[in-house]
Amino acid sequence: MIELKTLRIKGFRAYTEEKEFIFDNHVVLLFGENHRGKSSTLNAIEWCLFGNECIGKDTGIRERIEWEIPNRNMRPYEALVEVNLKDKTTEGKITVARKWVSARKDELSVTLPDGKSLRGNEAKEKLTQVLGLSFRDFLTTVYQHQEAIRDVLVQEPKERNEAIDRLLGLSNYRNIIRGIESAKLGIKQRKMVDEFDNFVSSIDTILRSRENDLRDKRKKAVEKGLKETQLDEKGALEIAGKVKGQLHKFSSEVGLTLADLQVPAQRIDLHEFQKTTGGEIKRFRSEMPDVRKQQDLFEERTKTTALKEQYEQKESDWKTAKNKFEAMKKETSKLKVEVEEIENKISEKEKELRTADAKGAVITEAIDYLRLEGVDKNICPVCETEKPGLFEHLEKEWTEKYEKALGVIESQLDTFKKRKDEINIWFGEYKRAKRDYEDAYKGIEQIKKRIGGALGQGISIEDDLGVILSNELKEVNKRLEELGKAVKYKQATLDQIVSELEKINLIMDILDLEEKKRIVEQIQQSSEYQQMEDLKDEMAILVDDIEKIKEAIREASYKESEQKVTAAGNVIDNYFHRIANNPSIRKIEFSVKVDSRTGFNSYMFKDQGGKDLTPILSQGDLNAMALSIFLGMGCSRGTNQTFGFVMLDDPSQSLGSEHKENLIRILNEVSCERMVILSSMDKELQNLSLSKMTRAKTKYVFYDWTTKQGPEVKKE
Amino acid sequence: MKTEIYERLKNLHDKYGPQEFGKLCQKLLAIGFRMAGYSHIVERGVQGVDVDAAGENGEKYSIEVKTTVGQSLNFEQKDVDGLQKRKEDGYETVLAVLRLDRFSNWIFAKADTIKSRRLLIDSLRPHRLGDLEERICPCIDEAINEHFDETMLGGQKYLDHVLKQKGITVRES
Repeated sequence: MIELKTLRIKGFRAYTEEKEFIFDNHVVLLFGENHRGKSSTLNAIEWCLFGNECIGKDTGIRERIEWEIPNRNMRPYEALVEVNLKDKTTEGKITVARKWVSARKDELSVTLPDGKSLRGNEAKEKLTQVLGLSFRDFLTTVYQHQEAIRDVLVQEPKERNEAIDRLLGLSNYRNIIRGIESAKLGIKQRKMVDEFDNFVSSIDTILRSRENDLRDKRKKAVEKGLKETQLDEKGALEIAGKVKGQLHKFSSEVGLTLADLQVPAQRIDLHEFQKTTGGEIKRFRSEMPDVRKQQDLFEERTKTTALKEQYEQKESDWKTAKNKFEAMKKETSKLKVEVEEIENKISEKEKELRTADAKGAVITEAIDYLRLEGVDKNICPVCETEKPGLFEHLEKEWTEKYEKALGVIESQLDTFKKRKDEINIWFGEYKRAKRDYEDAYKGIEQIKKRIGGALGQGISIEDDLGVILSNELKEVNKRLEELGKAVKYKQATLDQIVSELEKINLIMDILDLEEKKRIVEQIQQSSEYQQMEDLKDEMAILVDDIEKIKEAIREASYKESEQKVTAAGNVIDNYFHRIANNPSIRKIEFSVKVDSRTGFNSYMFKDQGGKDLTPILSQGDLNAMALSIFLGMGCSRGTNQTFGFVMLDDPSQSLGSEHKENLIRILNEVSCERMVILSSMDKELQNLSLSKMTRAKTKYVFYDWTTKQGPEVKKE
Repeated sequence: MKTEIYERLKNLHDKYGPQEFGKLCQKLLAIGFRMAGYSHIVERGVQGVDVDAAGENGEKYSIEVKTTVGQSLNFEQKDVDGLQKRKEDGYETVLAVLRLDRFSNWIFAKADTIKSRRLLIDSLRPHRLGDLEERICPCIDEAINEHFDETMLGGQKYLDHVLKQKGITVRES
């Protein structure tokens, strides 16, 4: 049995400065308020003995996730814990020291009774051998954590079951199963299968599309007169041979030379054959003699039509000019006479105007003179004799006689001149009409000459060119109609050949589609596809195996739990009865079954009548239950325990006064066999332990805590 | 499966419907076993496990045949019971599943651990009898190719005739 003798802590969690604890009595009490470093003291023992095993999720203790070892206020970070143990059998002293190096690394040293110091793996192996207890068993039977009780107090069955698993040292099973489940292999397998199925589905879509295209092409081929038996390479090659024969015959008939066409011997040459044949057909369509003749006649018709239109235009122009000229010619003699008469009249009027104008000029000058200032208006400026009223007389005479007469003559003169101008203009037009008429006549003569040239015959002035040209056009159209029929027949022959070529195209399309379909179909036969299939099988087997392993772990967890519950059941019942002292519960049946939904252990507490106690257990009862399980697990091993001490951290969380007293009584019993290290902030429990525990006690009081010095601890 | 085989099976399915198609496949599977060299074969048309096949080297298989166009099938308690009886008689029990799909193949699965339920075909993968599939499936394909035309015309009657000709015991009730 291993006894704890001393503990030295520096820089570990709540500790900064070095502190030493001596465990020299059967009862060691750590008293103090919260956050004074009591739990750190117990944790230090645990860490020194088990190192990183007591850190992280696998411990099943939530606060141990990302648990910090060195005190944050230490500079530099350092943490050292040293524990002195004594092997009660050999009386040998063993010193275990653990120094923090980094979050993942520490340095362990073990000094044996003979003074030999071990380090590293050697030290680790020796320590395991000395302790003879796994970390899991240490948690179950030596160190009662605060959290172990807190979790049992939780009303959620899932969490309580998990906490009891932990109290029974079974949390590793849960951790392994959770680890397996977190790998989500089933989901990954389904994803893999889905991806594969999607791939297969896309291939299927392509194949269906190819099949539809093939069906359409085959239908078209049948509509084009092909038989199913022709829809292969041989069929296409035979049609190519037929096409060559048809083209050869055609070229002979129309008198054209056919290029050197090679009937292909294999499918690969068919494309070239089609290209060449297509080119030849195009050439035949444009170079056939009838087509050429047709083109010549089209040209001739266009020219003749143009000539006819030109002739008709010229003839029309000539007739118009002729009519206009002849009509004007009739007017000329009459207008010539009118011009002579007008000229005479103009001459007379100009004479009259000159006479009247001379006398009028004298009068106006006399009036102007008389208007001058200082001139006597009654004296004649010419004879200087006095004529009373001369000025008024002259003005009156001018106004009434000359001004009016001159106006009339000027007006008549204007009229005659205008008329003369008009007649002169008319004669200008007459000259132009005559010139137009002569030009139109020349135009007629010219077009007649051109038509004669175009028709190749002499055209006399008496010929009716309109009729001659109409007859010529009729003849051209007749010849065009005949040629059109011949050309149409020959083009139809070529169309038939083209249709045969299209059959080859269709067969080639079908063969291409079949080839493409075959390529896609071959994916399924490929080694890669087979590998994927094998992978699916392997993955399914793996998932199945993992499922079986999970089942086996669950089974093992259940079996071990059942075994422990059976072995410690009576002791647990005894402890519970003694701590809780619940008059309605005479006996507690603690059992386990597998939860069919989760597959994990599910614990049941039934009373003496087989009724479920869970709904009626108080927080205090649950606290008592957690302590009973811990003490049951620890004490059921009896003297076989390798550890000569138990550590209880704040065990009275929900206990009532009576519960506490009962607990102290039990701990007093335990202290007869093993050292009891009790940490508590509970004044009542502290007093009870001091007053009711009969063994010698060592008391450490945790007074204060400062960031610089850590806990202020005094041994009392 | 090969496209040619798929198309033939699809034609049979389209012509005879799912139930009759299942029977035809069962018979073609029996012929496949014969072609693979199994000497004693019993094909049951109505009651019991569909096919028993025993080889000269002592191999004995009792096969429940299921065909489907979907991804799952019903494996019923009567199938489990029937196979269990055959297991007690010393047969290795096999669930032979054919999904009529271009990208599926026969799956021969060890049946003794499979429970009755609606089964996803993919869930049979861990139980596959790969060696047996490799030996028998090509022979079933061969049987399909050989007897397709006549089966299209004569259906089960024609295949029963072939089974008898090949010395396969046909139990119709």
